[in-house]
Amino acid sequence: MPPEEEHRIAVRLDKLLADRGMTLTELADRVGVTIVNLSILKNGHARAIRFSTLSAICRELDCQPGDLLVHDP
Amino acid sequence: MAKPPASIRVLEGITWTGVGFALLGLVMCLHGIFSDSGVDTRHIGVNPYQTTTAADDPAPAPTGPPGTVRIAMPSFDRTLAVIDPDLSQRFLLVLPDLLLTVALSAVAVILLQTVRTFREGDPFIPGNARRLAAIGFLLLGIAGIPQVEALSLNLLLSGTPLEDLSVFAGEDFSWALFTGFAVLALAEVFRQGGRLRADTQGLV
Repeated sequence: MPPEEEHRIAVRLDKLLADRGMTLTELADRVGVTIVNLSILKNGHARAIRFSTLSAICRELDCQPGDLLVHDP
Repeated sequence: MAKPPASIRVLEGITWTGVGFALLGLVMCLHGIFSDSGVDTRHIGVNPYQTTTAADDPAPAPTGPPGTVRIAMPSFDRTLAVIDPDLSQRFLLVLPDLLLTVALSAVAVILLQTVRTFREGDPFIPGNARRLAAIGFLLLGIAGIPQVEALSLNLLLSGTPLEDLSVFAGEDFSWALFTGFAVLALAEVFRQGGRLRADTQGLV
């Protein structure tokens, strides 16, 4: 298996949650994704995200994909 | 650890049997080198068309009264016998079998390591891809044993009245060539499977 490819995508889920006063558990319930997977996403350990997950998060947090994912040069 | 499924245990049992047979063959080869027997023999092939010391006409024209039935094709199969061989002669006689059993023992042990990982229910790990590639290359190596055998036979016959015999390996190992390539292809499948699994592990 090749070494994990590096990327420079940062996930701003913690900031969005703080701005909206929402907990990770609550978001997990609303989105229908396990808290473990959302935690992986929040901590930047995810390697990929489904469009369906991204859509659900954006819907619940009332944001755009660009608010959640940013390129960190 | 939970008891593995019956199919995995059967597979492990078969592989253990293979390891046992391969190691037994290895011991027998080593015994053949170091034991002092009266006559050592080896099944070989001789090409009568390229051998000046063979029969005058290896493929005589089939003649005879009408209705005569005979075998026109000369036999290529021979048995080489060495009377009271010394250590080097015994080694040359056993060398192809020794290489085969060493390679098969290595294949069996690596296969056993691979099968044991099946207990976890996830065979698509990088280690298995490497193990299968190693087995594939070992099988390709087995396919080259007839060349080694021809060389050892020529060394054995050099300086003897049979020096001019055109000899070749009595055994055909072309199966190892095809199996080796098949196993290498399987190793690539495992490598790709491991990558797919790794991708899905980080998918949210």
